[in-house]
Amino acid sequence: MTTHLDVLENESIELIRDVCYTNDCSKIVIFYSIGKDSSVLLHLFKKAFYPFPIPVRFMHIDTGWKFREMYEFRDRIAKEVDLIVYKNPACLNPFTDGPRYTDVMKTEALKQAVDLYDVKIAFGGSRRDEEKSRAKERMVSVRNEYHKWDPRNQNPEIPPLYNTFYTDKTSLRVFPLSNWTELDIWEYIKREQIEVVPLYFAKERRVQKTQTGMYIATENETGELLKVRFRTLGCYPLTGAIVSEAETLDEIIAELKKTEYTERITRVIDYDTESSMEKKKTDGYF
Amino acid sequence: MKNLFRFICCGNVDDGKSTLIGRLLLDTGNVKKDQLADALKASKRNGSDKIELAMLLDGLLAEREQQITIDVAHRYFDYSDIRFHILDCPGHVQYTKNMAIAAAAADSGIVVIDAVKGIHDQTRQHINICSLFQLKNICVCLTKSDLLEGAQDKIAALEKEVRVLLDTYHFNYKIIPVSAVTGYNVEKVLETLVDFAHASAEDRGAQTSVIMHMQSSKLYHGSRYYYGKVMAHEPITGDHLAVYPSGCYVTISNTENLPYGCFQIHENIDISQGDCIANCPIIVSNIIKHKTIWFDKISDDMLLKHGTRVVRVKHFTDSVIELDNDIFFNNIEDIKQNGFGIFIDNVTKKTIGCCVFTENKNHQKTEVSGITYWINTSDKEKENEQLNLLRGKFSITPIIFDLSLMEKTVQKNTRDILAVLLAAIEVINSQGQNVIVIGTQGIIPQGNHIKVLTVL
Repeated sequence: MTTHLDVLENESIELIRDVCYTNDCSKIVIFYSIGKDSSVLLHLFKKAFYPFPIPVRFMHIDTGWKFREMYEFRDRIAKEVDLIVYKNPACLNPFTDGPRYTDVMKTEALKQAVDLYDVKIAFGGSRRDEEKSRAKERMVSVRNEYHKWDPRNQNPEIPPLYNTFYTDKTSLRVFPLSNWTELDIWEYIKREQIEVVPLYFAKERRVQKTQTGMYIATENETGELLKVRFRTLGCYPLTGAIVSEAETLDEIIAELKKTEYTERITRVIDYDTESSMEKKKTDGYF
Repeated sequence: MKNLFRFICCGNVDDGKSTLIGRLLLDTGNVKKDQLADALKASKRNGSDKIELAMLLDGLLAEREQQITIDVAHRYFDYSDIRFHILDCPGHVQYTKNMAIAAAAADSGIVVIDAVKGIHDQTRQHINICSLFQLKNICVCLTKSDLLEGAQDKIAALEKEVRVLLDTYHFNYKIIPVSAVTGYNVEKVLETLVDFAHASAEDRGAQTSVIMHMQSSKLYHGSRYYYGKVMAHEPITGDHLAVYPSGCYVTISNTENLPYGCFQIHENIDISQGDCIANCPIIVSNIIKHKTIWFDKISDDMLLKHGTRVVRVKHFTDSVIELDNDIFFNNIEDIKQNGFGIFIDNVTKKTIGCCVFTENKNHQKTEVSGITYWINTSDKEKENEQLNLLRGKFSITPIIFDLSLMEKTVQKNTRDILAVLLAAIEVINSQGQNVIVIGTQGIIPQGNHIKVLTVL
């Protein structure tokens, strides 16, 4: 029987090949964020071109504030694939620079990297179930010359006939995981035995409580020792941990089936204002 | 493991589509606490003190401000053994194009009609689009029926009107009065959707057409790998398929341990990007009857994308398009997935239209006659004897299709025999040869030849 995971995998692979085979691969990158979705995306790229190597480069927009375990994981992946690491030389600090930090170190950095490496097509691991404005986004999404998204004027999309063309003035963002949910990602990681950063599994970790009541990781000895895991990964000062007993993939899947909250509550960047993701995306954030 | 089922929700503006979907999500336990809190905040800003269910769906700022749906929203929920993927469509006339996008991707739908206001022009337009894109199952929800409580005759009259309208199409449909606000009959809608999901899975299971549009072929350590877009079924080892436009035939030698849409073949033949392989009749033409839904202004310089071919449009009328190269398609009424294309403006590269292929005839394949002989290839000596006999009899070189290569699958699947017969007919057609030999180890149909009179 063809399961929903087969259908999702097949659609993603077909889209990946469609985009890469109809365009100059030197203009394409895969945004790699080191998270679980990126791990699945990497796996799908390997599958799509099997037995050949992945024909496009990966790109990590670094902020300098990711978890240590993430850097270790990334450096191991870099031995397998062609990975570009880009960091905005502005080097802002998430503790002291406030909201400007995300704008400069993520949105601006992304635009700089895209221009620097002459990227016309960028793949990303975003999913529609993550956030309401993402639920409206196309799988092949057009950006204008300023890298902006115009949600009211999107290209009509009729899968599997993706419009993979761009002009001098436009570039594309491609989201092969659009129709996947968080649960699908974990079920697929289990099925395909995909490696992910160990931070996703519950373990005693040192954390501190922020003003909003979120637990963030700390290396300070005064931090509380709690059994936690991370549902999403990003810059550690902006990523909330959840108290959890889920040490294995099966336990994570069971936990997700029962959870009363979406993964978005663990992201400071998304949760500050309603519709903030749409604003960030129209400004050029991924 | 779940089955994936895609359906659209359409209908006129303000008839309560997003509210109904919001209710379905809520009742199946697929709304999380933070999503509820978020929707409540938005509802309050719009002056309501309780949650407006539509706020669970409308995601864009402009939509929340104007309280309308502009673009298709994709939502996912699990219920029973099914993963539902809803494509919630905008109802406004100016956003009809977005509804058409959703209809192309689904095979079932909910059509929402406000029980008080009745059928609107826009409802008819949406039903038309559902029909154009060959949706099979339609669940008509008469929403806000709580407002008509006690007026059963009014609902009965509307039901009748809907029946008359839908009977002019070929839908399998069900009409259910509901109230998303009170939850009345929402369970019935869910049950109906589950039935549709099972019917749709069965339909897919019964389909046997293999159609692929080629994306690439590459050599790796001496063996060639082919990659393509699967329009209907994926081929399996042993499948005997016709290649378009070359007209030759290939036998799949390997699909095991290869990714989706990837295969190897026995023959040393190049199948290039844009070619098509299939086990069923495919229409090959550059002059095509169509119906098009326009999203944008029609352009003088247009491309048509279908399968993995992008061709220039030479001439366009409302009923016929002429392309500068052939494409390989089916009428949408026969095989939906291979029955439409998109128009792309060659200057702006925007998608400006969706074109549905309909009522085209397969000109290349009409009334042919030929004879197919079945011989036993398990015994080499006997095989040669039979072939020599045939050569003498017809003074030509017989063309041999060897079924023995697909022996195992033949026993399981009659579609392979059909594929061979089709392939045989194709050769009769293209080469004017009227004798075809089909080799097989053992299973030989009754009698020693089959006369093929018409194309399947």
